[in-house]
Amino acid sequence: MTLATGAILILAVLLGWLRLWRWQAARPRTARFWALLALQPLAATLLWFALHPPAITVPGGTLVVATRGAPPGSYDIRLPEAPASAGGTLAPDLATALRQRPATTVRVVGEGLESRDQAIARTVSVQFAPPPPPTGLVRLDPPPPVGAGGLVQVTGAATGMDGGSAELLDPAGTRAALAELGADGSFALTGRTRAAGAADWKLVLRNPAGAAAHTANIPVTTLDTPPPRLWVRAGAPGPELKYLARWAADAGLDFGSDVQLGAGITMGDAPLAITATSLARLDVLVLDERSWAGLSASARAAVLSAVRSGMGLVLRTSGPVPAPVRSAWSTLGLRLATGDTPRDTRLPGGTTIQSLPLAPLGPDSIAFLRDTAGKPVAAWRSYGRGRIGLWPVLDSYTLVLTGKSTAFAGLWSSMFSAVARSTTASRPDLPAWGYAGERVTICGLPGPAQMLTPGGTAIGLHPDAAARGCAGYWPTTPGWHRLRTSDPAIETPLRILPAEAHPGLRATALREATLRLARSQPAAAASADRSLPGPAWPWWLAFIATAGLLWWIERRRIGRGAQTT
Amino acid sequence: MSVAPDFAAWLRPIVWRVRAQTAAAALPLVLAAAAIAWRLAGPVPAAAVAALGLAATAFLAARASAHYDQRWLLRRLDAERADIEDSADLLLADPASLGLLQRLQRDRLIARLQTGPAIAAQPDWQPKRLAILWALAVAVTAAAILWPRGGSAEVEALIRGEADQPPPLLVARSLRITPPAYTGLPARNAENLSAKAPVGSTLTWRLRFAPTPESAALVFLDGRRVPLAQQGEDHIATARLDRSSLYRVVATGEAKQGPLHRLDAIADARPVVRVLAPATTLTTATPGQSRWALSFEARDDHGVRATARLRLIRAAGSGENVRFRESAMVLSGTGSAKARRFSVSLDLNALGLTPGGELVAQLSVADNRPGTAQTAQSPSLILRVPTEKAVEAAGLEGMVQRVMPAYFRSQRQIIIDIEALLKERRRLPAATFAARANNIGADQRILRLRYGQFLGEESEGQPKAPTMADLLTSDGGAPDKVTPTDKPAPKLVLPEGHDAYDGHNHGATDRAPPVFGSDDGTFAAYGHAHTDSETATLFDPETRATLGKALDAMWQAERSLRQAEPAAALPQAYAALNFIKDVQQATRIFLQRTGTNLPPIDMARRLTGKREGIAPARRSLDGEDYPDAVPAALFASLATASPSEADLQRLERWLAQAEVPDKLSVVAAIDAVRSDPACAPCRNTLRGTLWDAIATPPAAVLRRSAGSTEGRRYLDALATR
Repeated sequence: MTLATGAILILAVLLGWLRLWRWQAARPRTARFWALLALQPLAATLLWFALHPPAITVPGGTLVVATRGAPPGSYDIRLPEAPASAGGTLAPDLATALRQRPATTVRVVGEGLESRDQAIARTVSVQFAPPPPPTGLVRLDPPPPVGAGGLVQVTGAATGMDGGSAELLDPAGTRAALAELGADGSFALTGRTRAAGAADWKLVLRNPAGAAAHTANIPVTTLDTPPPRLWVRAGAPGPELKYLARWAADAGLDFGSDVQLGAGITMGDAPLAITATSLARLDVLVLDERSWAGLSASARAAVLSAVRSGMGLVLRTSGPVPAPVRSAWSTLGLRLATGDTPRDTRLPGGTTIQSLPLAPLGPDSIAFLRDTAGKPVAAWRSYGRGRIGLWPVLDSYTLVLTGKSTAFAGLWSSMFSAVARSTTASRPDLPAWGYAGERVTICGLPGPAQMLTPGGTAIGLHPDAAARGCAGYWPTTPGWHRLRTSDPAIETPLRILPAEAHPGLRATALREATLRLARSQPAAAASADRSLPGPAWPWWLAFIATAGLLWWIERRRIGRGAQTT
Repeated sequence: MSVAPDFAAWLRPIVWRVRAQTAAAALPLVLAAAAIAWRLAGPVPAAAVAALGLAATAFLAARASAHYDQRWLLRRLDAERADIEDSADLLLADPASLGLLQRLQRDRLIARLQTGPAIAAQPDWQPKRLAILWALAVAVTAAAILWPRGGSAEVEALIRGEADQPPPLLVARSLRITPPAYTGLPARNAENLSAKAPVGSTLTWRLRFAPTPESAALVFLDGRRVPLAQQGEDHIATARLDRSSLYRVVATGEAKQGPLHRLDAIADARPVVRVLAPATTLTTATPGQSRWALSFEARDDHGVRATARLRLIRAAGSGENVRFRESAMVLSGTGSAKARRFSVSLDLNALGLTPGGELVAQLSVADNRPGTAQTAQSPSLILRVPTEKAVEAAGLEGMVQRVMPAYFRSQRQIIIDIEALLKERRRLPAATFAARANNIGADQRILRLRYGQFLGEESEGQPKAPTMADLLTSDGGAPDKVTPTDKPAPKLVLPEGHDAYDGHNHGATDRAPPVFGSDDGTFAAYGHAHTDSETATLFDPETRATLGKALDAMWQAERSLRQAEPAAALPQAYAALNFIKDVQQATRIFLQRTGTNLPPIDMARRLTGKREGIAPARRSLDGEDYPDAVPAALFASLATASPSEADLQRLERWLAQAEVPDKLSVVAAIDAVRSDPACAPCRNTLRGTLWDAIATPPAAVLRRSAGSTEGRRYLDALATR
């Protein structure tokens, strides 16, 4: 950079000289000519220094900075979040403070440095004596995305509330779940969504006496994806198929099934032709061990090739699995334990089902259903772009018969959600929520997008294609902001919480980030000198003076009088 | 040497004329602008606008007139007067610097101009343009002053001459709730205009407005309107609370619609009866128990009547022959009106409870609501007095089918007896054999007579009550697997033991027994027959014929038995049994099944497995089938956008037919959003109520996102590895 500007400046000087030479070629060399000749390189040199001011060496020093929650006292610098009782010069941010008062060490007093100041703080060494950890809600895991009727899972932790309880309130304000805080203060709560759309759930932490000590809003966005097309091929009719069809109808799935009774006799819908084109129209295909055994080699190849290109395949068991099927499935990476004895499996939520045990999972398999002891019950793995799930549950229909149809729907919904073909559109990757006045990173944007504030103002986003299509957004007003993307034309809500929301959570985050900074920048370099870019303004002043002189000498009539008169 | 003419004097009228023209053109604009400013912002801004406009006019006039100077005058002279001979510039030149000829010409010009400039009046007045400008300005000014102010209440009040009357405001309010007398609740004042009160309460509103409006009313959202009557300074209304509703206070001349208030009618709850003693509903009497203590507690929100009715049902007998006697007694409660206790100790001996009998007690209480009191019953409490027989049968109950049709069993029993007799024939003396065969024949006779009753046979006398002799054949009470050897013993010594199963009515010997199948039994009880007794039975002719054949066979069998020829009797007995079985089949009732109307079977397609052309059953529920589609869609859109009026109307239509626990709160939330669509907290409230109204749908499938191109490439690479 510096070299390039230098070269350009030298070229400019040479061109200036050439022009002077030609202009004054026929005239006697006056003092004016020589002055013009000499001032050209001088002006270029000054401009170069103005653009790249020479570094100055700063003696090592320590800057005491007051941040949010700093106790009253006298400090060098007071950042905007610091309380007014903290004395010191008010600086808009740490970078400005360091330019005004160069230092090599920053001693942070208070809760910690805001994310705004953390980048500049990496250039100096940070000393931080952390305040006592905050009490109340200190960890809140954003709930994973959920569909209508799905489970909202809220987990987190609170400190300083031994013996307290956590309560989840749904958007109507009625209690959805209640749990006692664990020994480490952690809690896990679940609620069930009723409709697609974005809504604030509320977490209430109660002390042992039952009084509400802390409340926190938890924005939850319930997504609405196009329903998958589902086909079940069974080897025999059974209650599982019946209740699966019933659930699929209620949940709005595009469902079809056929039962191959053998000898060319089929029941149910018109049988599915296992070809590449018919499978490409499906999102999930469910086979059991009998229908798998009934597939020809070419049909199996077609199914696996469809899975490689994105289809989901669920292998379910309806009874003992013959050895050839067992080995065929294990070559797909999903292995059943030996023995066909079904075992009683207790699931979280107090339900019991019968299932065939799984062999220990391979490294590429993911268990999506575990029993109360944590043993995997059902698993899936990637296969090309698609996924294959193994569902060795024999009698999930008994859940419906015992009045637990919600649990039944939840099990199958989670299975199909895991393996179903992905949607054609990619969802932008938004954080679960943001805070007013803090930068929000939005990724996965395919092209230009707009943010609509609650007031309706549209703010353009400029995603960086080189960085996963990420864009920065600085919200100022709390409320529901909307991300509007043009391709596909969808609006995704993003909740911006007020700047003072989740105080414990954010204090913990600040504290840990500042502690990380303090650890990564050891105080050993604290006293050493350090060079900083020097001030540029004297050079600019000198350059302007020289350039002005040049202009004046060139325009003045000195030495031209003879020709004009 | 002549002196140059006084150009300034010549120019002065022209300059003033130009200034006047400018002012004449600008003034209407200033006037119109000032009028508009007065209308929009008031007199002070209007004055400012006028001052600015005048200043601008003066500036423009000065600028316009500056153009008309001496040079302009000389140019006009050159242009318009031929006698100036394009030499007007000489008039301004210094005569001393001019040549001779120039001087001469100058003098000539001066002489010619002695009479004045004599040029055309410049510039022209343009009366047409000015007239249009002035007309427009006057029109705009008039419009600005006289235009009515958008139909606002203020202007309307101005028209009515009430310009200084502010809108009425509710300054004092009270809502007095007088619950119905039977509740015993005191009258009270509600804290605000919303209240919860028992159904039937009298509500009295006393509202005071300042200033007092012409009229005021309570407008309910369900369309009712309760006018407020003016009484002194107050407005008063009274209404009975019959159902929950929402209302607002509306006064004429109100600036804006007031808030909604909510009235909740608390329905009178039914009383609740709890049994304190005994602990279980079924009690088995201990041997020698003579009293049964019962204790109940009845609770009600307002009060339980002091007396309650205890219904007592005594059951005597066993099996099919159980008779019930019902009686009632009135109990007086103790304790407060809201929780009364009813206790009684029943004397079992006085009630005539015998072993094998049961006593069922049920308390029925009523609350103190006038008009239609609400009643509640306690569970039935049963006291069972055990019998020895019940003890014997314990363990076999439910396994042995003890009730069999008597006529069917008896014929079979006769066959069993005959067969047993035939087996023992060799061992028995002839006389004993003949006597036993005769006995069986007697059984057969009695059975035949009983079947004969079905056909109205009277050849052997009127049907009579079974006697002890009947019991020999009517073996209903005997265990199922009775061998002929042990048959006579229980029959003979236990006449009391087979009361339940034999079907004959030996308990009522004092009246003529009803005869099964004959017209005087059932028909006499429920109607009257016009046909003769021979054909007027319950059986159709075919059954009668079959039954006749059975009787014939019985005749034959009886005759052989009486002649001590049981071997000959056996086929006849079997034949009779078969005919009786046929009759039994015939007495079954076959009903036409309704409800299915199957299409005819297509024989060409049958058993081929072909399904072409068969419409598949509709499997998926579309949006219209999802009952909560309307609120769910609105729930999603309300998060970020205000609803349209059409949305709200659709929601109201849905609400009218939906089963929502708290409809009023939804209605109130809709009303709040409708009155202020931009109010975000109101929208949030509506969303909350909608959430409550939506039933949790079955878990849907959430498909994963397509992911990035790099991710897909990675998965493809993994698959081909």
